[in-house]
Amino acid sequence: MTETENKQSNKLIDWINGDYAPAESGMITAPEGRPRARVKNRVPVDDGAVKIIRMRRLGRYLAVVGTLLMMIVMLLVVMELPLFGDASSPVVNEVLDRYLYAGLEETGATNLVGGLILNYRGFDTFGESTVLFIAMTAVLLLLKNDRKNFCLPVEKELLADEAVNGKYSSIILSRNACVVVPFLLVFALYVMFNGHLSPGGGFSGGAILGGALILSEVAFGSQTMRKLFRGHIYHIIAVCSTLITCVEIRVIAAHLGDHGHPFGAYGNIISAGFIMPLNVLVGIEVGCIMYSFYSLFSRGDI
Amino acid sequence: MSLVYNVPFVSIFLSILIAVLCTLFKNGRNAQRLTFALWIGVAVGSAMLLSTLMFNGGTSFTYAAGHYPAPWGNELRAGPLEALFALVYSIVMLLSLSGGAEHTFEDVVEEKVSLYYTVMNLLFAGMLALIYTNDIFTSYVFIEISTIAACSIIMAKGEGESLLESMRYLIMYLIGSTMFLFGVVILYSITGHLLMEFLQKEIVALWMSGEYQLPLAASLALMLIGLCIKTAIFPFHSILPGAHGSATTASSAVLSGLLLESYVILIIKIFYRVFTPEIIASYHVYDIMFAFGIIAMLLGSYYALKEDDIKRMLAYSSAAQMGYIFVAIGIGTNAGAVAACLHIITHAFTKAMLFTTSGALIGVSGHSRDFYDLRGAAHRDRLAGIGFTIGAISMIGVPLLACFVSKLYIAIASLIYPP
Amino acid sequence: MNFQALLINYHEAAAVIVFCIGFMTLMLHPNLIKKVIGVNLSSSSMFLFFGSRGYIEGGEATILDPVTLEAPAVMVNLIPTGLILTGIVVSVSITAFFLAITLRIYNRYGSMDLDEILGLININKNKRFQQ
Repeated sequence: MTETENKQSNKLIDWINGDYAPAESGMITAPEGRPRARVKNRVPVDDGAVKIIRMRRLGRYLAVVGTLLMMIVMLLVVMELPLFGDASSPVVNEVLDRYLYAGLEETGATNLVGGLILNYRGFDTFGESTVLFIAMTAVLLLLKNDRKNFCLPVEKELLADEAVNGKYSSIILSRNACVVVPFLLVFALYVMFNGHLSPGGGFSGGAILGGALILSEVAFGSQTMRKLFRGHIYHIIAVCSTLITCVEIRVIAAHLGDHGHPFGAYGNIISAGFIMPLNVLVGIEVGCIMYSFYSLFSRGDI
Repeated sequence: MSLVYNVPFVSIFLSILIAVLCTLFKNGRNAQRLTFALWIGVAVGSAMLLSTLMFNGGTSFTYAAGHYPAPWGNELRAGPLEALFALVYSIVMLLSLSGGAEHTFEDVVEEKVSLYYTVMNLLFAGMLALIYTNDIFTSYVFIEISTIAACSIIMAKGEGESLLESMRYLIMYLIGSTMFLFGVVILYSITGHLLMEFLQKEIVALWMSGEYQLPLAASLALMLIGLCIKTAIFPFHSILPGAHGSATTASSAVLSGLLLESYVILIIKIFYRVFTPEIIASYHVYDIMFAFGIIAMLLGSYYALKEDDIKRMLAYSSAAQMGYIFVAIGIGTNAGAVAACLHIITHAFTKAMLFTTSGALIGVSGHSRDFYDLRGAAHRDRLAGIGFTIGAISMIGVPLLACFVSKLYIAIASLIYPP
Repeated sequence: MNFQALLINYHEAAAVIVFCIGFMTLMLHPNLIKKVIGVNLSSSSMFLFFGSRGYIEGGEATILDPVTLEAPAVMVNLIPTGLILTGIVVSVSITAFFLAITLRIYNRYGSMDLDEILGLININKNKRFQQ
């Protein structure tokens, strides 16, 4: 392009005229020679070639000043809030009284918080397990190995190590894990099954179960864990999610019949209606999701 | 209670159930067919609900999501407006995804297409729950679902640019969510309720008696700023062009046409059901929204003119249309809110059409988004060219087309505002 | 300007300060992992704030004795506890997703610094259009 063509006025006139009519100048065919733009992987950083533009100083100072102002305003708000532990604050109202004093008869659970989140406000728990499921799907979408994304070749090196040493990692870790993992698994089951009787529940039990599975992968190697799951772990998660959805419909939909409520004496394991099966299902799902996060991050494969 | 009153509840549950089932499909086409069947079903159900409600006098009903009535259990609330929004959302999603289907199967890796449809279903469930909810904490949980879903559909393409834009989108959304949660927490600690009708009674009582004034104002400010960050209004619009420009066609259409508006619907709900319009007017929130709306209208259009890339231009146009909606809400009267809702509906259809047709035009021009390469594209693909022209004329507001009606409503609403 | 209230509500005041620290980290640090830490700081401070709103003077945990079924005399407010459970799970999901995007960006660009990545993208963009 020559200098005159670059002038702003000529550009404006061209834009108004719509450059030139496509039908006359043969522009109907698609432009050739421009393949689908693919940027090469891992562009090497030459010295001086990459211009790193840090945020301007003024922007930084404004952000800091703005946040400090927000902090001062929030501290003023904290001064005006009801005092810590005040029994006459607006939070203590008829909502709280029914949860505390009628909670046992209506939900059947002696752990009132468990009864709250799975019976009174079951819709929020349903939303929460959906958040976990969508995080799992999104991480799967991002990190599973396919033709556009392949994990760094950690797997090959680890398999080579395994072949040489006969064991995945140090002997201290694997011997100790042999002792610790069974206790962890039993404890996870205890927390899940006792969610309606003592502090615990599906989410904490699931976290412990996930920790046990991650420890066994770190100690015993990915080959052993693959023998256990054979890639079906994702199906386990999906089935658990479906079952949770169906059971929640039964719990939540008031128009599908009666409560389905405590079939057992209070304080027993079999009581509190659907709370115990829900806790177990949620626990299994959360445990498998935690383990899948670990294996996707380290190997790129469930 | 006839059977059709279960539609809001069943549509949310069914979306989540089918989303879980979609992950079990190996073949993307089956996932696509199941998803489309779901959306057709939800559209039909919402249409039946809308007609039933209109025949019964146009009042809304509350649906207890549990065995316990209002302040102890969760609730959904549906009226003709919510049913209309659900109908529009399902139709627009159906049309965007069927229009962008070819590009979806090209851009996303084959094994992951069913996961893409899973995430789309969960996004739909999140937006439906934001339309129907009557509880503030539930809206926070479903806002988080929409956040993760929106960022996933941007980065489904897998190329470097879409990953980075998705991450910047995520950071902005997280700032907004955390501030919204802070506002909800402060509001709970001064009122003690989470359901919207009871919150309104308590807030009006607090307003009359004059205690806890500063926490009330602070919680309103935090919730509003958090939601406005997500609607990409003027100071927060910088993430729009990158994210909507670099996503695949169907994703851009859904994000630009539907997701931004669902947060505006939540803002309108908070204004009318949690805080009454009088309280909002006394905090001068309407004036601030009006001012930011005008700035967004002007600046969005200015930045759109400077662009060389067709999808970034359309994304900036979305920012400008958000300005229109904020101006309509900022008028402060009921007529303004009605005009805003109408503009949400017409903008959803028009923007989805613009993005879908521009995706087709890009497809016949060697996958380049630059205007230089798009010359003559309408001759190569005539249907897309005609569609893009109609969409663009409608977006301007030429009479006989959709957006003319909504812009006329905004103008009329501003005229009947008592000075 | 009731400074006494600030000293009594010291949990909430600390939560607000940590929230602003996390918020600033999220906005200003160019390193991606530090942004993730900022998100976690903000969320955790929110849970501290919410939990401390639930205390009632002299109250105990809302667990009834499974054998005798007797309740403690005064019980704390259980609604914040239930909502915090939901919030923690949401925070874990967001952290997992954010870290997955970070890992994928690192595999692609070789850098954890957001400004450096933007610089790399600008170079590639200019190269592409200058053919």
